[in-house]
Amino acid sequence: MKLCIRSISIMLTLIISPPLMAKINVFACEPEWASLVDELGGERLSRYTATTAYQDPHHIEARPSLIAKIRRADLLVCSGAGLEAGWLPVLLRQAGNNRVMPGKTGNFEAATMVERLDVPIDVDRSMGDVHAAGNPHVHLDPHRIQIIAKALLARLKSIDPEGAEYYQLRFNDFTQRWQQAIQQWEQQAGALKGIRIVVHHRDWVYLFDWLGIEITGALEPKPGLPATVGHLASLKQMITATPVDMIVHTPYQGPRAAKRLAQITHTPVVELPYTVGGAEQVNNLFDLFTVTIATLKGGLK
Amino acid sequence: MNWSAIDLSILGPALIAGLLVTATHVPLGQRVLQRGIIFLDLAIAQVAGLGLIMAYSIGWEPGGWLVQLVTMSAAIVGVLLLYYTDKHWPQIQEALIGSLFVLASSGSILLLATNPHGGDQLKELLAGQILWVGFDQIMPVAILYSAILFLWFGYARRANSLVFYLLFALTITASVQLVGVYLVFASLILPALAIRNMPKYALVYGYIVSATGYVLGLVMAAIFDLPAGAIIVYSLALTAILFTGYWKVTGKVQFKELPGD
Amino acid sequence: MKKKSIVPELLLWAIVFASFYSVALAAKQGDFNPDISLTLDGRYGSYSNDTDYELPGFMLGAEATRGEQGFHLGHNELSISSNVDDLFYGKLTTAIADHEGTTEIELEEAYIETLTLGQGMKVKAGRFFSDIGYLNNQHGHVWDFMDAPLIYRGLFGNQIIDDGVQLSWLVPTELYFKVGVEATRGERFPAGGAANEGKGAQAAFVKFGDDVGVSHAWQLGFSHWRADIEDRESGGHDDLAGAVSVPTYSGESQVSGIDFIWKWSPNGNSRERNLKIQAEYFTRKEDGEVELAGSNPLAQTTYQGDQSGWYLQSVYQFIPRWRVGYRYDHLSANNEGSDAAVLAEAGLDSEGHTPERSTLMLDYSHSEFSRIRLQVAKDDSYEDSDTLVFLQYIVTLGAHGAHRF
Repeated sequence: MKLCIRSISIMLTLIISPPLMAKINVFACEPEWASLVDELGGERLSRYTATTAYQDPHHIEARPSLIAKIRRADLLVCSGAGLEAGWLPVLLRQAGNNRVMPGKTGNFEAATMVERLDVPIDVDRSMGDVHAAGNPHVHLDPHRIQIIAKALLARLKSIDPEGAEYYQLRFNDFTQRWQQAIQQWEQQAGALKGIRIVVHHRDWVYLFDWLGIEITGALEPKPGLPATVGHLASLKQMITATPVDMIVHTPYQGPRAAKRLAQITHTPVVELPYTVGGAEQVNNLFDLFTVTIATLKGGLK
Repeated sequence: MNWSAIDLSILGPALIAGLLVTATHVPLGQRVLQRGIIFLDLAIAQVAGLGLIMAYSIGWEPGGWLVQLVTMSAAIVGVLLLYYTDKHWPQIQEALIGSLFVLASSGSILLLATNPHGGDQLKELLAGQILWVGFDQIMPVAILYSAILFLWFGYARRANSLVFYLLFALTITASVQLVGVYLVFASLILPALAIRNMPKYALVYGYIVSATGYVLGLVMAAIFDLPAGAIIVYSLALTAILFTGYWKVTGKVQFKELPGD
Repeated sequence: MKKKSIVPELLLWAIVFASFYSVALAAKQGDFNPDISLTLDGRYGSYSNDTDYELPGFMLGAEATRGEQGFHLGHNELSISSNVDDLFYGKLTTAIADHEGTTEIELEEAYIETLTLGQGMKVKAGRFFSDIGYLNNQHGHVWDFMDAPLIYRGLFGNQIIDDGVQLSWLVPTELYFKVGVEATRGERFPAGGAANEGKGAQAAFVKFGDDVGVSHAWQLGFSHWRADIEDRESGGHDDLAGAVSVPTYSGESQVSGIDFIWKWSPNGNSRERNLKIQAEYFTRKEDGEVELAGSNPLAQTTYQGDQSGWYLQSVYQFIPRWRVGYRYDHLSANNEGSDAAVLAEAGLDSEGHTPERSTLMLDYSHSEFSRIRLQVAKDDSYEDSDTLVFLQYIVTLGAHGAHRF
């Protein structure tokens, strides 16, 4: 009897908290970081993504399920630089998890690891919802992703030292494939250099900076404010004077404004995936850039 | 003595299950003691157990909602039966309650007679399986108990017997599956006995006595490798006795007799 | 209890200007400057009834009025919050309101909260909104309607704010499951007298919540509040002799409540369209004595109070920036006592009337920091049906206030 109980207890201990099988809980704010976490962390991590490509990462409801997930997280991987300022701080305060509070090892802000564009000189609310620390949508430049991946590797190693070798191997493998892929993309995107695009929101800055594409205007009169008819009219004037090659929007931005402008200016309108999961074939970061570049080239024709 | 067995990841869910049972059983137990229907809870818990065993015998999935429905229905039928007999034959109510308990227990034995795991299942029913409880089992119980506590504290004064009995049936059905028949009885009666003479804050003290009993019992079960359900019954008794003893010694509380003594 | 302002208006303006200046300085979050936000709220009201507002069966607190007619200021708030060090978060909110010509400053919130207790535990201490119910812990400028639901007005005098301590625990389950208890002073309405040497009120709550797929999320809560009350005052009445006697209640009070909210947005993207359905139900039992303080001879009665009520509201954002909402309130009161006349004088006689109210609102939010609202209500709180029309603006300056579910 006692042996029976003892063996059941041992089995239970093994099942519930074996050091060999305990996964690190990672909470990724956006799908692009979830994908990066998967590349580097593989089987050792149990990853939860807070948002999908169809949700605006600036405006997420602070849902109870997110609080419960953050509470159990060992590592938070988010963009930072103010992108999640509308919802993440409340969640962190309510979750009571001191491992992932800002400044702790468990809190990884991708955007602070790289140099940012669009850092404003002065900021005030009349300029719209401007990010004071610079543009946070850093995942759209593969070179920056490489830098972030390196920083993430270091962070993973410090949280889970036993997995250090495993992560290093995966990182090396990822880096090799990534650098190869970058060369291919830069070749394919040659035709895109110098083209002119109207965007919906300035989330494309890093992509277009890398590809040498010019952002001629934005559907939002000011960041965070939806497109208005008056603004469309002024955009139309500008486009008539100096034509643009296409209008671009994300899956989470309603296509109506973009389509309207496309109609009145006879410009092609294109929906780009923006992040992993934003289109059917986009299942990881590699697909993201492949499909994005292909779609841009398709819009040119 | 195995001190390393005190692992929160193993004992955590059991502790929360214990606290949930405490939350509902202390106030219900007070009322049970007031009404003098002490053995009703044993009988109903056993009837609920019979329902559970019936459902398993038919071959339904343990933990499935159909099983829960059958168990709850069994408990409600048992409660209605006793309510009816109380109305019509109050003089022999105690005897009827005892008979129901014995009938339900024997019924369980009969049903499990051909089942090779019968003995284990019976023991599980009586002594409970609090250590094997998981968080997913706890959630529905937590929501059910919150609703029951809301109804209890919101309408306590208006509650007539039938409402009380029905709430009771629902509560017992859930707790018997978490902690077993004996611990259900102990959680209802022991803390209530300890606090019956408290002039103020009786409920708060009851919660403290019961929670302390559960924590102590779980720790002892972990260290000494003993069945948790059975040892928690003893630790509840211990905390109840210590509590009563403390107040008697300090003489601040006047000890009244139960009505009808 | 409101304090009469001793701060001259000049100093008040100085505070406002200073906060504007600090807002300009404190551009980034994560600076050492605290987050400062100022909420400006102005209204225009029009009623069809000239009689005083009543809610038969409920003792109303001083805050529980329907607001003034014509142009008037609503609830302007200055809120300052920040992480204090790596252990604590602190917040202070003062409401600056104008009541009949006098500017009053009220301290609404002044609390600290732990950040890093770990294990999902949190301690909050100071003056704060109680976390019972769903709406109680939300600031008025976040509400979907201009005023509080009728049951909040009747039972809590709009919201329960009290001084004390709260301990809460987020249980490590997959589902969001939070438990909390509060122990507070019990001096402010609906408690009174800071009984038990300033430990008069306690509360307990549980909250559950989860997602259903990508587009839906819900939250369910149960709560309980109780207090020992000594001399809770409500709005005064004139008796026949012309003297003002103030009904006061002493005794016990217990409130139990359920709250439920369901949110939907296509693919979880709430910017384009979203729908919110919310309902709360409260029931209160009181047992004690009611006196008409100031009456001569002293009129008093025993009192067993039994009040309950609920509201159901739904708000739908049909295109970006525009929302429409409907709310229905329903109350009932069944109070008993030894002297029916005194009960009636204290406003505790339900007069056989069931208070109810229907409200419709439409609001436009140019950005998340400004909102303009039109609200129309058919108010049957008392026998004379009243039609209320309101126009309201709410703007927030300063820090990017992140809001709860």
